[in-house]
Amino acid sequence: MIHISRRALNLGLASALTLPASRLSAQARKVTLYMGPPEATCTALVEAFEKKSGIKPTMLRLSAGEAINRIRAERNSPQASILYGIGLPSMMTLKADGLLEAYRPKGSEDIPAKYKDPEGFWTGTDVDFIGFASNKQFLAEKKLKAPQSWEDLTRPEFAGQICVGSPATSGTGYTFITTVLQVMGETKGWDYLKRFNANVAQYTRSGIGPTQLVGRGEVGVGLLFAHDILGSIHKGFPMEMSLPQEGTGYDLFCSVLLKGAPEPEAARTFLDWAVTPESIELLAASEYFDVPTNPKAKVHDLIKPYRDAKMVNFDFAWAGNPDTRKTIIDRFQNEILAGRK
Amino acid sequence: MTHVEANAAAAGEEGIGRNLVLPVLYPLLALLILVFVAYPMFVLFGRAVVEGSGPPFTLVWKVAADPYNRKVFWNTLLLGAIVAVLGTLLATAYAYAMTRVSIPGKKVWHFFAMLPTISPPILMALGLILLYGRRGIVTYGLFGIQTTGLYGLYGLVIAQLMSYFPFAYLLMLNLFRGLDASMEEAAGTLGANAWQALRTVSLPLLLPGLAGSVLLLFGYSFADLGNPMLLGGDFPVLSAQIYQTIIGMYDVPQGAALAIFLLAPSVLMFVAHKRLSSRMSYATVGAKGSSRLRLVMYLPARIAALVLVGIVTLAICLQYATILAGAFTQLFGINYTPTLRHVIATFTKSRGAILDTFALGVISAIVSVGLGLVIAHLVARTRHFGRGLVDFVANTPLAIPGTVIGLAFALAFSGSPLLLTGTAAIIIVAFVVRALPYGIRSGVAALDQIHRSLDEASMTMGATSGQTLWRVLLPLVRPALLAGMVFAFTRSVTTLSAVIFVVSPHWSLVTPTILSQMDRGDVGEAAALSVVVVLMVLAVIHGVPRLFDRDWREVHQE
Repeated sequence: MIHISRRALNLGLASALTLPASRLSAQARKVTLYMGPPEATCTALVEAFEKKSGIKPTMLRLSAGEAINRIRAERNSPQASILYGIGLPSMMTLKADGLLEAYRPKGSEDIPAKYKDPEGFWTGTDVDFIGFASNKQFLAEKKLKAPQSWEDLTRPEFAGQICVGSPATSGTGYTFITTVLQVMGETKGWDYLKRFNANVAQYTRSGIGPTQLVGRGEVGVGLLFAHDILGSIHKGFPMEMSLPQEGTGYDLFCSVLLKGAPEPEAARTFLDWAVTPESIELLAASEYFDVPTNPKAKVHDLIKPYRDAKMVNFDFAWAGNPDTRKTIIDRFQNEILAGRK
Repeated sequence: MTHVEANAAAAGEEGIGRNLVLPVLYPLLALLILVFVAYPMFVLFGRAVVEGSGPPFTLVWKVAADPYNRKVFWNTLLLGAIVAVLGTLLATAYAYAMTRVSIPGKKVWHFFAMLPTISPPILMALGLILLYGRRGIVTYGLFGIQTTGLYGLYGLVIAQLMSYFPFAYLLMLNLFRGLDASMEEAAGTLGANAWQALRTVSLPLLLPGLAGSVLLLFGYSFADLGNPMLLGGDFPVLSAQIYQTIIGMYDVPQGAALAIFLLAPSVLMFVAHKRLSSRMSYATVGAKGSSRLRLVMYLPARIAALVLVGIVTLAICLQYATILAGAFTQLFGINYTPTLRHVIATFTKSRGAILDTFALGVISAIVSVGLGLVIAHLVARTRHFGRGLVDFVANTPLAIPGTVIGLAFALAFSGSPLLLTGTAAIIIVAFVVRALPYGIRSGVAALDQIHRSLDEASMTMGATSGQTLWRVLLPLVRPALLAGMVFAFTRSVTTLSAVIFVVSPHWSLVTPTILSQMDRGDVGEAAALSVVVVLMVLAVIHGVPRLFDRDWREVHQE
């Protein structure tokens, strides 16, 4: 029943046959990746990589949560060798689970130390921060200015007009909530989240969900990663981006080698390539506007104005801790989600 | 026992000694069913019940005590109850209009009422968002209303009604057709008008059917994952909560515990449904609608019936028309410039998903009907030990929501002793397990049509039971089997809940792809891919009998 098509056959062969020779050659030719960025970016990356290296990539686009889960479930027989473009807190969860393999990509010396794991388990390729995306038509109709601070979001003008990914299911939502708790502190932060909640139209399942809602004017304001906002603006959606003056949170998107990777050699080749300016510049070229960690990579014009935005000193060790995550999400569900009708 | 049956039994028992096929096949079959149906559920229970350091059930109690989970649980029940009651009313009215009232265009009304049964339920959410969302063409475009009302209970009720009322309609349709019209006629002769006849004669006879429809819809509502994910908003239900717990909080044990709370009511409903339907079949014994029906000709009733079927059909048509339009416009709701971009994207980017879905759907349809026939044969025509148990276990997936099966599979086959994660096999097995009860049903239905004397004759002539199955019974039951395969294919291709945990980079499927396209906001691509799925299923439903069924061809060539 298993050996039905060429792909199943290949898979079956690769795992069933223990002939070292055939295994090695199979490994050298392909690599399997789980990737976080939008489809267009993933496709651009894997195509460029295939052209450069001759290695055939197979990729599956996954959200942070889906990726973690899948990798945990496949603990005994890893299906993919690489996880690419997922935020640092998730990578720390995987590292804590012992599901990553340390590898320092060649060329990663160029990347500043704060964007790399001292033990070499993860290497950041790009940084992105949370911004407010406002629908221009909405602002014009209601004669409003785009929100300039976290507090602005609780103003009555925005009642029922705000959208953000649910912290329980999206990396964006989780970064938002941990940023607020870091900017305001625990007590004030939760108090703020409750007031903020009163204005929220919907917590979407995925972090990029609000992009479309704001773009189509279903809601007035969305909290999103800047790359999603700038990407939509670039596509021609009537949107503008503003940042909270109290400081905003950010995430570092990393690439990692998975433990027990089925194609370790090809995977290392990919990881080396992933930190090169050539690879990182493909992100912006495919409308995924992030700030490169590699200083040698060019910064896209759309992102330049925001390079000096005020950022909180994001505590990844705290936010990435699985216990922190569980406590925060439980509290969020019980104190905030449960009260919504 | 009559003389003939006694002989047959003796022949059957004698046959076991000579017969090499079934004694080998039977333990294999039992083993397959235990491994692929019972074992995953054990693993799921295990993860929920024995977790961490505490005594067993610690986690289950904790999950039950959590106020948020309780809210989710009651939400699920509330939604199920509303959908079940409204859906049954709608289905009954629709079926009554179609069977008892003289209205034109019945073929058209029937076709559109059945359309949702062959499309992924997630399509309803997609259509509703485009039509009645905050920027929907009806709510915003036509009336200028901007409301989030769709996201939550109301939207879910509408989406699930549209997705699942057709199943209840089909049930009621068969009931109305089976109802002995002479009873109504007698009432009419005694001076009752159509309404009185319906109320005092037909309705009491229909009561078990109505209850069956309520339970059926309850079950469908419980198992639905796609609509709650897209339309749930601030109205969380269990299936979506399980997905979020596992995908968002990485908490598999808690997800498994929640799955038990989704499973328990579903099993209760299923048992209730089963008992009811067994009583129901007793009630209709001898009541094979014999006499010719007299349709209601009363004009206001005809108008009312026409308005009802017209409105429902219009609502369904609007859904599909909108999705079709969405597939061919730049960005539905903002920019209505026509484009082929999404269709091209569907056949390039999503080609793998389409081909995989089709291939795996076909394979699992053949396997589930084949296995179903063998099990049906075992149960109905042989006297092997434990055949009742095999039948029971093979039928349990009917009672298990897709999310629970999918999760159980992902947990059970991700490591030793049986590693299937990432293969096509896990998807095929998930499809087969879910379609097997229907395969058995079509097998039983097929065998029922053949008189026992045929296999007795075959056995008497010295054939083994395997040969009998293959050379005598199979050719006779082909139409029923083809119908079963088409049904299994449709069910597999349109499910989201059962496969969302088992798809992999190497094997992607259409329904999870549509979900992630919707998440990303690629409404156009989601719509285009949806159109392709519906066309694919329609092509299979109408193409398979034409291509493979000789009887069908003979009838239609005349």
